[in-house]
Amino acid sequence: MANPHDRLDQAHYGLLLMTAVFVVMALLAAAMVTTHRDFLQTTQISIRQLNLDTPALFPSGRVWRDDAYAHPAVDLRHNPQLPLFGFFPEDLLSGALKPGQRGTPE
Amino acid sequence: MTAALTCHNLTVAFPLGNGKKRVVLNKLNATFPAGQISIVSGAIGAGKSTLLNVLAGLLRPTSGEVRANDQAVSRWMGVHRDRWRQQVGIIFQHHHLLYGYTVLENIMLPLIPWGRTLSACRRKSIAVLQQVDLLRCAGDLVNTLSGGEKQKTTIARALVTQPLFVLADEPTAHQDDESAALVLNLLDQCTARKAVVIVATHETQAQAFPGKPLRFRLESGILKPLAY
Amino acid sequence: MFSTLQIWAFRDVLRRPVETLLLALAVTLTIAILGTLLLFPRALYDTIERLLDASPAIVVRRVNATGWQPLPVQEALSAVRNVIGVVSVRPRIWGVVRAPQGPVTVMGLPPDYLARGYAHQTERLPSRGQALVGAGVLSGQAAKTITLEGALSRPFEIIGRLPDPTSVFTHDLVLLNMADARQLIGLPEGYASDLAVAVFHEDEQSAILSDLTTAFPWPVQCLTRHQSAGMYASGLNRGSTLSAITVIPAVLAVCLLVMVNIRLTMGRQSELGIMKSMGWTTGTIVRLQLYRTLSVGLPSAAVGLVLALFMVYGPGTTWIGKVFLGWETLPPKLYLAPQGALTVLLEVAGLILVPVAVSALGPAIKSATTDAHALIEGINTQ
Repeated sequence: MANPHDRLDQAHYGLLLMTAVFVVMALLAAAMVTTHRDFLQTTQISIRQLNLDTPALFPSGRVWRDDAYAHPAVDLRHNPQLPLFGFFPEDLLSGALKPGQRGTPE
Repeated sequence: MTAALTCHNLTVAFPLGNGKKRVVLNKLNATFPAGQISIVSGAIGAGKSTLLNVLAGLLRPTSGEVRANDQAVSRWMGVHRDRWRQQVGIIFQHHHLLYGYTVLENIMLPLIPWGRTLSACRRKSIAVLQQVDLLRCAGDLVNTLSGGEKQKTTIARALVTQPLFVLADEPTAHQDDESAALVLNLLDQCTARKAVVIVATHETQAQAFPGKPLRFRLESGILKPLAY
Repeated sequence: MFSTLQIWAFRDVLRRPVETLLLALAVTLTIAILGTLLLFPRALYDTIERLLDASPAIVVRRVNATGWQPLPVQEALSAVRNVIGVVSVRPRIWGVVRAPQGPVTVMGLPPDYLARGYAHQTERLPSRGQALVGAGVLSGQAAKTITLEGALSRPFEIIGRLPDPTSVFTHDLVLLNMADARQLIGLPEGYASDLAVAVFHEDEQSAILSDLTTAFPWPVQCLTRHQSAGMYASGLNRGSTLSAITVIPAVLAVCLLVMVNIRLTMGRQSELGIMKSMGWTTGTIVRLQLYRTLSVGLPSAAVGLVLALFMVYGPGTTWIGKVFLGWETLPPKLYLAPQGALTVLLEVAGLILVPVAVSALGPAIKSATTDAHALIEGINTQ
């Protein structure tokens, strides 16, 4: 039972609680590391077996949701999975990589 | 070696901001022996509180020195003066309690740095609270106390470590006759264990002290011993 | 478990519960936000770097003046066989076709796909007229068929979805039977979209390019894994720069926290004076301040760090991609590289906690050179 004349026992319990919070957070972080490890192996197996290169479309750039880019692999830098971020959109917007202007399958 | 607190040419001057200084204590020489109450009386603003602050190591003198058991404590560097203050129990005129803490916690304050367990600190503090007849208020926040109760708390806090040097500034100012007698009795008990006890008080209250205390009068910055 | 001083320090914290709670909340949120912003590009980079390790070393495409050409398989295999350093070559049948929600990548499963142990990851492989789709192909819909438009338009029965953990690589992917893929893309028998080449040694990727290029009787273009990684790295750097700019408001938040903490601590100077008069040494006061700060700061930082981890790596955390990258569908799971993530998180915690702790200690250390009387006088003059 806590001492009635001071609040030091409450402080002690508070410190224990803070320590518990710290420990729980550390365990949570460790658990997240563990659960994410499996994801990597699964994906690596898929990549190898499908011979995928460059990651899939990181969902999903607005540029890529344009039907104009739907065509069999026509472009020099077209990959099974469209690459991500800005270096492609500029080239595409500038017209340098417009599909349909290149060759088509015979 | 008998314990004593002595002043040698002790001077304290406060700057007034216009290049001038106000000399509060002017080359004081005095010896306050152990085992006896020393009373320093004087008018309001005479410098009684300043003297106690310097003796307690709370304020550095402008010149001169304070010696405790033949050691020049006022000349010590900061960390050593901290240790000197651990041997001193000071009863402030304005209480200087920590608000937001209970009475018991305020009394435990001087014991915390000693590294004792909480239960040991509590035991000692409750014992002192009983001595000042304030156990009923142990769990109350100091904000809720009367002036007299706050002063008793200050006294208990000063005595909890059983210091060898007790400096009291107006210890009976807010007390009724019964409580004042209790306080004086406590100070007398300190002398029984050979502590140096110095009390700053007004002339009228100086008469109530038991036994044969040494008397000094502080006037115009000069400390004069008085005959009993 | 705790010393008397540590308990006293936390008791001191409990004297001002509202202030303490606000400070803790501020520390938690600042660390969580800053951690998320710095961790996200790191997570993307770690994910791509790790996954690219499993991708083909070199991809070879046949090209002419107008662009891509279908690649005759037998001729290509004969040509590559003699290139030193090449371990294996696999033709790929793939293309980009229209789907209801936008372009998707279709891939024809190779004949020996089942033998390579992928079967355990899906219930069954697609036969003619069937498809396995990635998480983003028909996001938000529980459709049973999908109509794909390429060289012709055909509906396919969706027999399964590719596993969520692989979504970073399979998000917009549709796996078809080889014959269906050829038809949809318009690729005749005996031809492939390109070749996936494996090399004996990783460092040989660039070295054998010239031999590989000259081995074919027609012009080809080769893309190595290193080049792919470089493209992504440059793109990610752009994202990282944007994230770095967001550090500025976080730094301002830290400055604000420090200012508030200093103000709060300076208001306690008279209490420090009282403690000093009671025999507390400067060292004890400094330790008290440190315990006070850490007893609140450390758990707050821990909660903030875990929040940051959860926001980047946790399930269903879509808003980061939506806000910062314009993503319209569920983002894939990102790889948590412990070392990289730990470095970022410790940097963030240090960036926030250290200034806050120093701001609490500063006034305490300052009191070491000040008379206790001068500190206490703060009370008398108010």
